Amino acid sequence: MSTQPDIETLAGAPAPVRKRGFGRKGRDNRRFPLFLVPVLIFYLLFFGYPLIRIFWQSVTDMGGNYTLDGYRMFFEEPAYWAVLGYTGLLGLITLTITLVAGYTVAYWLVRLEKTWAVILMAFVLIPFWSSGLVRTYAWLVILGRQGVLNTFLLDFGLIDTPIAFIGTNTAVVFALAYYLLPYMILSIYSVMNGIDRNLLLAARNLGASPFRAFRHVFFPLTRPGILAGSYMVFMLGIGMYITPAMLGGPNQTTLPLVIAIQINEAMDWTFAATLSVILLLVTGLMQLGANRFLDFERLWGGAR
Amino acid sequence: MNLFKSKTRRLAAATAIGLVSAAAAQAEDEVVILSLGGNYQANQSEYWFQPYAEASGKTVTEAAGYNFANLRVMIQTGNVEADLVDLSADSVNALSQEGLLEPIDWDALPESCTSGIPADMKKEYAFPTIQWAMVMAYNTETYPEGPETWADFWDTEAFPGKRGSVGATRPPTEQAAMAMNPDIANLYPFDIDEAFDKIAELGDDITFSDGYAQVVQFLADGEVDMIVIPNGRMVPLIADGAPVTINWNQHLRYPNFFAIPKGAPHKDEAMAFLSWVCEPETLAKLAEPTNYGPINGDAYASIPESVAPLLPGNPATASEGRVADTTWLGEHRQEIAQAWARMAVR
Repeated sequence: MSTQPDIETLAGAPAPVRKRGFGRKGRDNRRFPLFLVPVLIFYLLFFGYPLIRIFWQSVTDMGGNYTLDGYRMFFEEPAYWAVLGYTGLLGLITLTITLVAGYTVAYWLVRLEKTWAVILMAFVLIPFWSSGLVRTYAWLVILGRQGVLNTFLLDFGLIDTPIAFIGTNTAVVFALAYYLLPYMILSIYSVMNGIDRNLLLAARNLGASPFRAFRHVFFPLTRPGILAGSYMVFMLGIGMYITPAMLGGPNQTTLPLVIAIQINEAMDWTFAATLSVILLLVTGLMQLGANRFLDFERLWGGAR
Repeated sequence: MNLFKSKTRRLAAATAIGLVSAAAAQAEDEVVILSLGGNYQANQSEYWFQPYAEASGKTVTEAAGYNFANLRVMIQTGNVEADLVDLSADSVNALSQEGLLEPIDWDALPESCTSGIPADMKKEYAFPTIQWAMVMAYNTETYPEGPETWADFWDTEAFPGKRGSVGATRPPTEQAAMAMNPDIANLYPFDIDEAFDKIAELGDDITFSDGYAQVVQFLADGEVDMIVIPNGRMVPLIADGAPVTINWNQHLRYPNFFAIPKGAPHKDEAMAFLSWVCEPETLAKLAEPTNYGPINGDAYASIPESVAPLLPGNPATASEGRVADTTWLGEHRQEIAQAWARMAVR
């Protein structure tokens, strides 16, 4: 994604209303509407249809009759609201950690010499390609009561009794952040890599301090990467099953865990679908809200 | 979306079913059996499926690993690719209520097969094979004078140490109920909320895991000292000489069944296999390698005396526990799931 910076951003002029994301591509597609057809079919078939099925499932019982029992069950049980709240909170905390860590790493990577950047990028990509189950299991080995970390701390006399990491928020948050970090790094890195370094030189040339050049020129240009990475990490984070299931205790129950129990144990697919719809709606709304209120351009670029 | 990506296991199961469909197209003279995989199915294959194929000259195609969700969809959509499925009592109840199983033709089975099966196990829609037991297991080094009852399991002063159990999928509600009321004959119905209050009492002294394999691993690693576990899971650990033992007191037995899904392509072949495998001495062969007990009492005649005490439902320990009321449990699963969520947010 090569982002050619426009002159307004550089000059710090009031940001014009501008279509974000796919707006520009849309204009090209209008010229060749046929190109859209395969994509459209793909989306309808593999995203549209299953979504409609889930909505439908959430308002029909096992016998196929219309019911609102699933929604009633959710709204009558405060425990489920709390689980939803915890799920969202877990997503936000994970997002914050990966954002700070991911941005720093990506920034460091783009400034490195090419050879080193490639080698270090491999360290980001290898875990990215390996199984999530294995990577989560690794944390079990590290954080267990007789795990690597506790053994180390005990051997060096730093603690007397093993610390219980498994079944704590710390374990779940760390493992989630670790699992999702590559998504953030890759999103931000690809955008950072496309930024013309001359812009920073120009800013310095015009008298900006290094920090000012970073804050007013570089940072606003990385916004698309931050947004893409944040969306991805948040969505994956709240939908994650393996990590909270393996590293969490009862207090780390997230909505996906509840959904899985409903499918396989309670065998109530209506309620499982209802919870999925609710999770989807809540995340959808949060994203809309984020788009609307978190205007990074205004926050960082425009404020002089 | 989360509905579909929540479990990786699903993929494996889908692959398994896919393999079945490829094989199902081949022969008429075959029976396709879908079982639970792992060590259990390996033994089923060695002592039941392959010998049957040899004896009858028919093809037995095996598929491994399914979960209730995709099994139900398979039958509902009429895309049935298995003729016989290994099912838990819960699944038999749920599927037969929805009319998704074929009735078992009990009259077609030899008299020698049926006489040793308790009357309440002769289900209309399923044939009982083995039973496993939910037992207590503990580290004998931590507790040389082992805990005897579930009340002891909850007594963290007399028996300090960590407890382990599977969490969300099967919280130890019945064990908690037995800790409060040792009269196992009148275990059901019990108050689910009270049971969860009891579980919550353990607080940090209990570690919940996602699966039984992990619970056993925790006991082996010394991560926990006392667990709630299906007896068969302890076989490898005990065989390795680990300092662990099973306490059979207040155990709960869960039967397993063979059932024929509605619309199975070779249901006559499935019945033919059943009338072969149902002989007590055939059923007995699974006892030693799996430590799961036969439901047919006559099978004990073919089981070595050294093995019998390890089996759930054997005459010596049967009276120490009882058969779980899977119907009652099935009806209260939603309540248990809800109570679990409530406990989670306390």
